[in-house]
Amino acid sequence: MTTTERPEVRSRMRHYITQRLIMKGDLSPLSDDDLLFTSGRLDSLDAVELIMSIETDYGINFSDIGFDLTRLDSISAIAALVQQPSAEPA
Amino acid sequence: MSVESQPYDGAATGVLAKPSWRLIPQIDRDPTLVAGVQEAHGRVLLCCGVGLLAVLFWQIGIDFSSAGLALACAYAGRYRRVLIFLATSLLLWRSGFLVDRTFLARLAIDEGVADRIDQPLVSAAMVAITFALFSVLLAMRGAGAIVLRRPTLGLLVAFLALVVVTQASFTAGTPRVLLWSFLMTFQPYLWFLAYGLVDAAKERAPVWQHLGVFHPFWGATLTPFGKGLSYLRRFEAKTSEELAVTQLKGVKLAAWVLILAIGKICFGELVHGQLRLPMFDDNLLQYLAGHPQPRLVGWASVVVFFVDDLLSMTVFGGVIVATARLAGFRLLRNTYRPLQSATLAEFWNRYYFYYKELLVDHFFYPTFVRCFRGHRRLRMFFATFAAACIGNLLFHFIRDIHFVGEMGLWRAVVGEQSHAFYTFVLAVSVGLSQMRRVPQPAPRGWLRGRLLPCLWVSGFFCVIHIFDAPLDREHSLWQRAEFLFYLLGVTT
Repeated sequence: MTTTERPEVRSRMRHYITQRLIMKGDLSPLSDDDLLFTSGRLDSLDAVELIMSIETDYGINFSDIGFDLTRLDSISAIAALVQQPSAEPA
Repeated sequence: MSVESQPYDGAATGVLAKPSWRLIPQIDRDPTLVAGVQEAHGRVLLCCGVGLLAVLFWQIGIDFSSAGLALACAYAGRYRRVLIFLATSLLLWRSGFLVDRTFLARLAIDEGVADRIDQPLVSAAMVAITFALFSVLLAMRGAGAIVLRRPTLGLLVAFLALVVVTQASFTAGTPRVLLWSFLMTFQPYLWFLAYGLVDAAKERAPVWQHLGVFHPFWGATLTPFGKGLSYLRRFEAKTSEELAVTQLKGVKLAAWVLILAIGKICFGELVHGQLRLPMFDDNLLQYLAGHPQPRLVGWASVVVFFVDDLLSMTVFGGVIVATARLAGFRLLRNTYRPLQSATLAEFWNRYYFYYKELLVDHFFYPTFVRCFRGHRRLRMFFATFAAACIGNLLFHFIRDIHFVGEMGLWRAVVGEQSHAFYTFVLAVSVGLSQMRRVPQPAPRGWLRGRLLPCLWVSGFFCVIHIFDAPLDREHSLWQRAEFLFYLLGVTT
């Protein structure tokens, strides 16, 4: 699997997260640095869905890289996590 | 286990979300007030308002004096961290570092070494040793050393192993008293250390800053309100406008909590004073003594216990969060409209947010990322079970660890049976609720879509409280089940 370019990752994640926020009735604007979980906009069930999505799409094993929810707490943080070398599958 | 309940609103927009009449005005959204609180005269007025609230709280027996320390920390600028450390240290010192000295004194007598042990000296030494240990662990973690690769698991294993050692015959006498002294000094900080060790690996902060939020001055139980340093940093006001909004939110919450606290007192006076409804504990004891109250009275006491518990939780957590907000940390509320929960998972989240977060952070996620990765639904269920049952049970066993010293390990474990049943039913129910949860709002109307689910959720937690209510070490699971069967009309 090749490393996805940052804009594409951001775009996909923004779309995915926006959809989940809309489902929860949250129509507030979303920027790349907005906090998702610690702000209460997304919950642990959303985190679970996000983890499974990232595992499937990018082949990341969170138990290998050490799970930390703050690394999923914004679109920018997710993009950085997905593209860091240690997160890429062998 | 969700966090969807609390609105995310921080800025002073000048636009009220709901223009209708509100009991507590949305002062944090009024641009004039927000601007005013950033000025000197506005700050003086804010301090006066907080002082008035503290007096009113004092009148009904609630200590809100930490709000003064909170305001001092908020305005301390770059010395805020130092002041938080000092305020926390001061309050911990005043409360004897939360060590249960009565238990230790009784233990020393039971072990026949009371006359040979200088209790105050031992306590002081244990506090010094414990905090030195915390400092070393945090410093090593901060320096990148692999100390306790999985902090929560490591701490729990170490703590419980020492508890088992206290039961060995070779520790009888002075060694047992010293070991218990260490454990009872360590226990109040166990979950703070767990958060601290996780934070220390990613936060380049001095050790004393981590220690400054171990039982921070705004309040906590064994559950950290505000988790650790990194979580708090995310909620810390960075500008004077953010600080003003956060503090006004704190005042608003404190005012709301004051009303609820007065309501709780009136509610208690009405049901127990005027209507002479027995407390839940008395009702259970009377049933077990062979003098059951009428079923209607029994159900009424269960419902009243549930309502009283919700009010107590809201007031107790609200005071803590309001104080933290006055200090400049815009923490989410601990209890937020629990009766509006439409699912079991949602209720648990709305009822005691920071405890749920503790279980999610230390049990749910670690299990979820490691176990059953190829089985989507099983993975979800098992992680929920690990948090709601195993984590929940371990937390309470450690919280009440003095029972091991008083009753012995086996009897203390057996005494957990009712609570174990409670956590098992809770975990299975929440797990199934999680798996069934559909994110889209179901267009089923207000009655079927909102009211009935909310009543079902409240009813479930109301009934299950019978197994979680006080006296849980003194009465068996079967005795409580018999009481429930009686209420349901299954037995007479």
